[in-house]
Amino acid sequence: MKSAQISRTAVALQLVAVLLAVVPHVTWLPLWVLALLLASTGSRLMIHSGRWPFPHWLVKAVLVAAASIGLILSFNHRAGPESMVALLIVALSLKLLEVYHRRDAFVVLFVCLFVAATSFLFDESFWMALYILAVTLLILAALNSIQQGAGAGRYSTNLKTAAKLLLPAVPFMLVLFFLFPRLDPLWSVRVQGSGATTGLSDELSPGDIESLAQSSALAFRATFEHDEAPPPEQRYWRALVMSEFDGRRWTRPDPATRQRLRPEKMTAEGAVLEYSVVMEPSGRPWLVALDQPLAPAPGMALSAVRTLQLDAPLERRRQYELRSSPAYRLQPLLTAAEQRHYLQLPRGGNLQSRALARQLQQQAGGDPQALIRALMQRFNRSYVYTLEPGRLGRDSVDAFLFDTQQGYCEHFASATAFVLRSAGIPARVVTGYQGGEWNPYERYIQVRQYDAHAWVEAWLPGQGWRRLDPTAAVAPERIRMSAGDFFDTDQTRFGRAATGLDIAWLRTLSQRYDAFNFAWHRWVLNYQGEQSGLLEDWLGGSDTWRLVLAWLLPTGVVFGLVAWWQLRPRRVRHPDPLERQLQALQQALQRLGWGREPAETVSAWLTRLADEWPSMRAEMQRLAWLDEQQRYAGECSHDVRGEMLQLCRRLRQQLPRKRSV
Amino acid sequence: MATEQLQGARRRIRRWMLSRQQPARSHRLTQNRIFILPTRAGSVYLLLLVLLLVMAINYENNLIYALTFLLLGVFMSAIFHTYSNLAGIEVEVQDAQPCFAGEQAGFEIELKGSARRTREQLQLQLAAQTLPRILDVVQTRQRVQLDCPAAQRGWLRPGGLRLQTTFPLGLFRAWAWLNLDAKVLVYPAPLDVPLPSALQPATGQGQDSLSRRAGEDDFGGLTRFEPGMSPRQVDWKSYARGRGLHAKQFEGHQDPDLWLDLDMLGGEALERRLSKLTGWVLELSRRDVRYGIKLGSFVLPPASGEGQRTRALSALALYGLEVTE
Repeated sequence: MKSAQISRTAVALQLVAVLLAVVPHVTWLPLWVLALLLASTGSRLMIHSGRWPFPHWLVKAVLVAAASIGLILSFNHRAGPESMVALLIVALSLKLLEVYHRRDAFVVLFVCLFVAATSFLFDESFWMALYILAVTLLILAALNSIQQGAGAGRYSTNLKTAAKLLLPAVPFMLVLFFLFPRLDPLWSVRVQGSGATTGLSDELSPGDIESLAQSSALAFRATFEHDEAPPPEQRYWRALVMSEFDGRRWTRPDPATRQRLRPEKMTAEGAVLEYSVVMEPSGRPWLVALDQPLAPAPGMALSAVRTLQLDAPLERRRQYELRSSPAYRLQPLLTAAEQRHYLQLPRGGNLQSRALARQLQQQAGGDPQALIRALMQRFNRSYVYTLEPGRLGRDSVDAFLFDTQQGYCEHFASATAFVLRSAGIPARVVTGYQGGEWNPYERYIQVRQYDAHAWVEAWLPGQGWRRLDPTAAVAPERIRMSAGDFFDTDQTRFGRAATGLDIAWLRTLSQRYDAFNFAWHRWVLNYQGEQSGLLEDWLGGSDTWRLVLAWLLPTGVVFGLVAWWQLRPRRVRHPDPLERQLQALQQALQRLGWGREPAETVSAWLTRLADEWPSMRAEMQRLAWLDEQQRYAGECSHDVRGEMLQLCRRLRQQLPRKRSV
Repeated sequence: MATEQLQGARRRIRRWMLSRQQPARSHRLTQNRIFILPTRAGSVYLLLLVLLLVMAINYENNLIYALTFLLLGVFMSAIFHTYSNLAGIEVEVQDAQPCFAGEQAGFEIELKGSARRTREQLQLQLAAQTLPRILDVVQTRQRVQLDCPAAQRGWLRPGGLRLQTTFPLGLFRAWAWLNLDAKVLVYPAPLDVPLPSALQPATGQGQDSLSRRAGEDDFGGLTRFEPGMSPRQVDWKSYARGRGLHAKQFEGHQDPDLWLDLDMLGGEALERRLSKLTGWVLELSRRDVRYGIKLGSFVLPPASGEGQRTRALSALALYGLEVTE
């Protein structure tokens, strides 16, 4: 059986299935692998059409050797899913050359299924899921076609059979998908090509960037309890705290210093926001939290300066739930060492700025808040917010404060922190994201890379660390609106459009599409089973027996339906209406105990009955005669048939409902 | 060795399955007849699903989870499709025409399905057969002739008929063993040995003393030809004149009765002797002479024609065997 030959339809379906399964990998596959695949598909076609013979074993041996060397050369330094998939595709190409029997075809199609599944390692979009579903359908059709004889086989019937198999599997899959516990990885794997990007860097060096390239790539999305987002002024997403300044760059303290810092104490004042963040892969080990988080979510740590840290870089989309308090009191007391740390400045440089700080200090008369107000007023009066500030000289703070007087958030944050420190007020630069766009369809905030922001935290005696955003003083709209909106309205000013979506309906469409993508990410890609206690809500608990029942019941119903559909008795519906009427009459009489004997003709049976049913004798005899005429005398005129139909109906109406004893 | 054990186990299972049924001419495939198990490809498919699940777990990839579950669902629904490809089929068997040992006995088998459902890729195999017969498509009804090698003389019962299918995906094999109440009489293999002179009938040129009775043929008139009469008796001349078929009657000059006697061939092995006699019965029937047969205590009185041939061959087929039918 195993050695049965396969039909031409089957070969064609296999080739198409192989090619389509490989298509998603085309972008990263080495060219030679693609060339090998196409060449072997081509030769398979030639063999299939009888123009070429099957290749000699020597040819195959050489090919195997060459492909192995090629794989080693291409993937020498990178062991990961790519090399695995490339190996499978190479094996698939070589196997195509020797599909003789049903068993070989099974091997090809099973590997094909596997290759199709690996597409999800590189692309998890909804469209990819649809595409792979279609490829699966095709592979099933190919599996079906190799079961058929060499003569039989039409593409449409194969596809139809595959669809019939796939359809009942969908509810089965959904139920299992929601109930199956998500296990921790069995061993650690590295996902490459996850496309991790971020608009935040680990250091802040305003003078070195001529123009800020903005990316509209998604940074994260957040949903809030009661579907209510905080006002834009409160949407400060903290990620990194930078407290070391070398005259040009702000950086985080080195790990040893970080270890020495005391964990800062925070008391929430006022309402607490509950929200959930789905963070896109950033390739960095930090996460964002709305200013200020109460506690870290499981699996992450809270640093001394209350930022969220992971053990390893974020390479996969991650969802976490947090609680934050927008009004808080943070670290009301600083030790002398901490004061020194947050006042530290390089010895020389930026002399003009230091002088400005002293001047402001005198004017304020020792009141830090008055000093801050004066600085903000200065910014508001004569400074310009721009994304193309140009490079700054050696003393970048001086150059910004006194020469160019234009810049973006980093310039303002850096200069503010410098001036505050010079004036003896502990200060630090905080980076993260600010704002975000509210999606009214799925009710979430979506924060893109161009929402990246930098601001300052200043320590005031008795009050602790206070957030201070100098950008708000220069361009308050930047804070109130989302960055996308802000840059849109000020296109002329900044000479660029951040999103290019200024047409209302296009924007709506894009929001709806993003809402759909978010739902996809949230409910499909990041579904974790225990998410939001969903299972508990639905099932009233997550005991094993509940899970098993919840899986068994729908599965039983679905497959019960399939079994019924497959095995249901199917009555033959005669194409001739007259025959149908006669059959109905026959069944009606059979119920009353007057069934037709197998050897009896219709007319003989009716004649026999006519004696038993005197009330219907005339009709029965007439019908018997007409039936004989019609069957054996070739009398098939319209009138005769019409009369017979009428007689049948009349007889059936006259029959008693129940069997009389 | 493992395969031998496996085959032995299979044979035992088959015997057990067949012993659960009454032999019958017609069977309907119901759930207590149909067995279903994954094929080797089905097991490999399950292994593939396990690999996919490991990949899903390791890469924490929900879409691979989904695909794995979807394919598992396909696996489950394949069970029903494969099963229903067999369920409800009616199988009816006809007795085969007698044949000679060493030939193939052809059993006619009729499959009846329901009108609306198409069955595909049914494999039929008689127990004794080596290669199954594959039917691509069966709709309402279909007749197939299944050949069964007839090794020995006597009654041949094909016993079990296996109906099997792996349609639609080849992941499952559904099969049923049916105990068929069909039999065929197998005549001994004829041995092509020339007739001994003692048995040479008195026809044709080579007339000899044994085959001839005294006197010439006496024409005794014509009678109406009836089926079963020898064509040799036909009066072809009168037929050519358009007077219809008439048979010439000869009186008192019929060929002498020839006796085929098993004991006459003493000394040789029984089967060989029976084969020789079979060959001679065929030869004598071809020449259309009267002959009788003596097989030990069994005596078949002399006669000629098709009926005599059948009787003689049946006697030879069943000689010394238990008469079961």
